[in-house]
Amino acid sequence: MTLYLHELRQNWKSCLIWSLAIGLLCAFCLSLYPDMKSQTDSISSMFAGLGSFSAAFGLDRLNLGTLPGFYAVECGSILGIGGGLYAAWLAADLLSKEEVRHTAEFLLTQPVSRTEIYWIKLAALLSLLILLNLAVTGMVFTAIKWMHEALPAADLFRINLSCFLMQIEIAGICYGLSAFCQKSFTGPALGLAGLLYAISLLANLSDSLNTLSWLTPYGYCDGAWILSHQSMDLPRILTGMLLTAGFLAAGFLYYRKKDIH
Amino acid sequence: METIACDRLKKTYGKNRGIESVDLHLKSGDFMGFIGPNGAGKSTTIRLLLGLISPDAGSLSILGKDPRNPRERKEILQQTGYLPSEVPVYPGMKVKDLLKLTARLHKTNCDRQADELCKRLNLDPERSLEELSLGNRKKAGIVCALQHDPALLILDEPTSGLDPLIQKEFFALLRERNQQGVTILLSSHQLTEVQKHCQKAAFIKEGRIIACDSVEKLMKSQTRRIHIIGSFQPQDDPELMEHIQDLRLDSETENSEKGHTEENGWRFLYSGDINLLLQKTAGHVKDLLISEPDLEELFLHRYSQTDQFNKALSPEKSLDPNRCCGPSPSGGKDFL
Repeated sequence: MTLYLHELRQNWKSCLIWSLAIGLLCAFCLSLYPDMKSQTDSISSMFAGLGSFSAAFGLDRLNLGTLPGFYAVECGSILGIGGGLYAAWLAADLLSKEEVRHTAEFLLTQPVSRTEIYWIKLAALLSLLILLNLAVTGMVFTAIKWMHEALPAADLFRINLSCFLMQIEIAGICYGLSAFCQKSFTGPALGLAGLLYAISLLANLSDSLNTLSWLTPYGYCDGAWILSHQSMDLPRILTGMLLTAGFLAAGFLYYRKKDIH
Repeated sequence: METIACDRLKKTYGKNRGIESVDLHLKSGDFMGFIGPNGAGKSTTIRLLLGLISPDAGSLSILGKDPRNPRERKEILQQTGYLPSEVPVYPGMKVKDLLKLTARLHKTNCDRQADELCKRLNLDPERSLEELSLGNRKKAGIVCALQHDPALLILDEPTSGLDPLIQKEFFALLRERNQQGVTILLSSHQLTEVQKHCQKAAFIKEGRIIACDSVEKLMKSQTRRIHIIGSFQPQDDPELMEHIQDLRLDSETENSEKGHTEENGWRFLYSGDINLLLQKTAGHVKDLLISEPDLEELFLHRYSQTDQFNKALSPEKSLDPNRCCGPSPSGGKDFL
């Protein structure tokens, strides 16, 4: 518990800043919705003329005139990119920072096993991601209430929960990989998150490329799919979670016997 | 039971040498100085003792437990206080936060000991670690290492950055703990502090322990510092030269009225029979000074030699479990 609280104390400020940045940006975008829904026809025809660009972001399959459709495009992207980058950054930093900042020599000479360090830090990582998503969801719901719009709770819940699971997958992969590194893994982790997002855009371009969506956690955060199916993409989520577990297990097995410099 | 027992410990980092073969034995209540130049293997040895890295070969036991076993390693660390050469700085953390974190990780309340240690070391626990000087950070590290009353203290260059008054107080603290039975391993570059405060000293060079014994015995080695003024020419006598090391010529030369007679001043370390020296120099000496070299002189001299020890320290030599450390049957004394 001591180490868990220590990690939360070390990271709550950055979590707060990221939560405010993502939540306020979502709220700002939602505040534009009342004006936008009155111009649905012209906007839809404009996106129809954008071809692949619309396809990449799922705009061709979503109705921006509805709040869930608008939320999936605007807030889904913000939460997807922002949340994904935060998850990658935090996960890459938690373990590797000890060696980078030379605090590993202190922490690993305290009576705490490496097994405890690995899983407690992971628990702190998950807690911080939960806090971020709760804060963002709270701000989004507050913004919708403030706009006097009907709250499409089930749709928003599915989209946000999918985004949260996507963050967990990215965090799990980056956390597991960071256990293999002696230097900072933050840069490669942010690059990996960006790459996974780019793959999801590519997968949306045509049916032949759609199998690529199995390679990226953004594949099951596709708002158009979630809204049209009124459910979450469980096969892709399950695949992602298994992949996450694999990376975490590999990282743990290595970290247990790793030489700390 | 030995507090630290490691034999033929080896560690390499890829193609780079960490340590070749380290034998180190400390009994409960020992206070040992661990001396060696940069890159000799001090930190590697300490990291192995603490389980931060795993050895490639050799046996290792701390407080009767194996640091390679995760469960036993935790038990070792519960009873060990470690001061790293660089004290950790977590962003936004005050000294008191670091002390509390350390105490909680040890699952013990150390408030009283921490207060007392902070007062003795003149450390303000309310200060932010990031604002502290190197010396004050070191004090925070010392309190972290001592506050939970460990049975074993491993201190990596503990006095760097500390002012002389605090160094004095620090060694007073160590002496008190040592008198209570705490085993102490202290790595240092400062031979004078090892000579002054430690009971034992181990010298490490190029990954091998080259000498290890009580400081008293090391100081009482046969080697003497000789200063001869006269017409004596040591380099002309091969028999004497076998026992002479670190030969240096003073710039003292004079011409007598009767002719050209040189009187040189020679300084050297002599490890042979003193009677042989007196016999060989008879009639050529104007003045002779024989003194005991200090530990620093022995150490610096020893490190100026490169291959002599490695040649002498063949791995085939049998290990004597009764000696303090090192593969030399005399604990390295014969080299000093």
